[in-house]
Amino acid sequence: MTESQLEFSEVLDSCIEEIRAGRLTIEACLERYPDFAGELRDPLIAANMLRGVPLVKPSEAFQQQARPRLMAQLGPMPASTVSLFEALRQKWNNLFLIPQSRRFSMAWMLALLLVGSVLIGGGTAYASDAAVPGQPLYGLDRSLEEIQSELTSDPEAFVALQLAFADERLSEAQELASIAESEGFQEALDGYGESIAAIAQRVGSVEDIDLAALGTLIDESLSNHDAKLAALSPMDEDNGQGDCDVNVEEDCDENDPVDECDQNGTIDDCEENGNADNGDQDGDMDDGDKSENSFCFTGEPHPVALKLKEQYAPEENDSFVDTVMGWFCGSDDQPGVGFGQIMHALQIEKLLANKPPDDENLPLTADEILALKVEDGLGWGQIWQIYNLKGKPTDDGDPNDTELSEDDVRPEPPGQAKKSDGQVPPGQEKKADQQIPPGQAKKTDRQEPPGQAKKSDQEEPSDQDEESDQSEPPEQGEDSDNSESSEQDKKSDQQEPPGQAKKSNQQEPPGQAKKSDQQQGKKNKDK
Amino acid sequence: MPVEQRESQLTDRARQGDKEAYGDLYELYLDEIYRYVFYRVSNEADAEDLTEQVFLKAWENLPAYRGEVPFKAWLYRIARNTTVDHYRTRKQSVPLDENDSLIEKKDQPEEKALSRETALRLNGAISKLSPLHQDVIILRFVNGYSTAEIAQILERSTGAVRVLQHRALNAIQGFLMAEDIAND
Repeated sequence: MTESQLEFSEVLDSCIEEIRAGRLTIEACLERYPDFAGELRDPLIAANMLRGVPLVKPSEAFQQQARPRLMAQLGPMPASTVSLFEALRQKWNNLFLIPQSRRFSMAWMLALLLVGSVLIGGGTAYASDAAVPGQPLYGLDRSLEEIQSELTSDPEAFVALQLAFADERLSEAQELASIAESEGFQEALDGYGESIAAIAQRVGSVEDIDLAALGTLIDESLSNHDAKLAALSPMDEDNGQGDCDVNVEEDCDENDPVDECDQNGTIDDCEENGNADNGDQDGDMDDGDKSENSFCFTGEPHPVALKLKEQYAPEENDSFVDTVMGWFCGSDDQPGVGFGQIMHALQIEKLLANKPPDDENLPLTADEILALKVEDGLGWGQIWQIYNLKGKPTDDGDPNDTELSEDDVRPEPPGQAKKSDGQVPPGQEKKADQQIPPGQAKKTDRQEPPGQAKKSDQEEPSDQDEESDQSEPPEQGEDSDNSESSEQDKKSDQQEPPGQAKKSNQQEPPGQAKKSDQQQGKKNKDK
Repeated sequence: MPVEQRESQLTDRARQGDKEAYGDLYELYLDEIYRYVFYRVSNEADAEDLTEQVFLKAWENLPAYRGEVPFKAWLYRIARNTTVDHYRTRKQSVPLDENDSLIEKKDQPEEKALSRETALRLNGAISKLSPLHQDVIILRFVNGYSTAEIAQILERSTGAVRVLQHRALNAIQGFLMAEDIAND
């Protein structure tokens, strides 16, 4: 994209506006911009024709019934956040009901909040909401959020609140990434992980949750988060790469230097490579176009993958990062998975490490959990149902206590957590797979726990690939709704975007396939 | 009362659980969301169904709406996601150029009304565009948004939207010319 092309787009837009307003004709515009006259004519003719496309409307019958029908379908507001005033009032009332261990920190927060409000004024809370890590008001912002979380007892409201906080952390991370402020960027990512962790923890600890509604909400939110997470890179100026969709917006603003846009491989390169649009065509638009992400071509670890290693597998070697990048990038015949989804799967794995499912044969690793999501097309609500996560008591048996334990905050690496629990002795994971009843076999046989997957990343895939039972129809656990399951199966079959192989034909474990694909990507880049 | 102010008031009330206010928002945006969805899915029945879904999803997610963008832009984002989901699970059932509802010219100035043949050709060309280009064309030329407003909806910079507009128009012109050549 050259400077003249950017300028041309601006001139074209200006002409379209002028013509639409009736202030200019096509010919007058061409005269006004003689340098562009040759190029302007065709798009202006097309634009002029488009002004007359039919303004379709819903049918009369639909319009008459639309509002009453919608009203009938609207449930109560699914989740509401607690206002600051209400939060403070409830906080005060509940202060002495808070467990002794937490009373001090809560009182401290409340005092800070009150003093801050009095000294600095009423706009402080509002201003703090816009603060990012490293700014003085950021601590207050997080404290207010913590109070809101503490006071939101309704599980659906709690999840909606955490999703909103997670979204805010991502916006902060985006802002800080754009100015290469890596410390704050890491802090914002930490905050995002905490919110996702809190959601998984709450879902696993409370009875009477509407899993279907929550699952949908989380699926949609994580999908949106994934696009933002995929676009995050505080190192843009160094790697000279960029995600097409994102850099079109981030780097090619009209005020930005044009050369920089070119270096980042933005509009022109993306379009020429088919990246910007292909993502939309195959329906991956809102997932951040993972397979087209520059990190998947260069083999460089994505900063979020590094963060996940730090958070979930600090003692493992870099192969954990490779595994995560494999999940993220996908392969030719398997779509990648967004970081939000990966984080949620890792969080469930951690949860299961502390509280194994009733059925010992159920998959336990993030790799296997992601397979349920990606290959079987299950939503998070259905996955929670499979694990019967709903209603599982927390460690201390208090179903309302959502505070993460120390183990939750700093977990064992995925491969080691089960060993330390003593729940699944080393070497028995494979056996457990073999014992899985037919309904579950498909989901587990083709998967390897991350630890094993990584080994085989360095070697050739073992025979277990061929042994995997791919022919069985996907089934769900006994707890799951059968009709929903069959509907989901059907949906799963239909979900394949044109040009992509059917997911159920997938034979390699995701970690292996993706890794090799990633290496192929590196080779291609080298070539 | 300006539309923006009315939207803001209705949104505030709806966020507090006021269904009537949400119903008013629904009526305010029904036509244009329907129009956007219709041009994306090319089918009247699907468009009506998806439009309803869009507003239901918006209601369910209203607590998460924080007012960072206008409600309308947020609604369009939900509409985009809903149509993407639709494409993931279903194929187009009725091609745009066979859909008679496109010939509806009600509420259009006479000088703007196109002949049936031109309308079909134009809509055939739109349907051949990539989804992102379709978004830009529909929002800009069917629903009449500025590039700045489209930038908010698509979460891109204004400059990027202008470039996309340029390419989409060139593509439409290319499709029409190719059709002319084929007919000749």
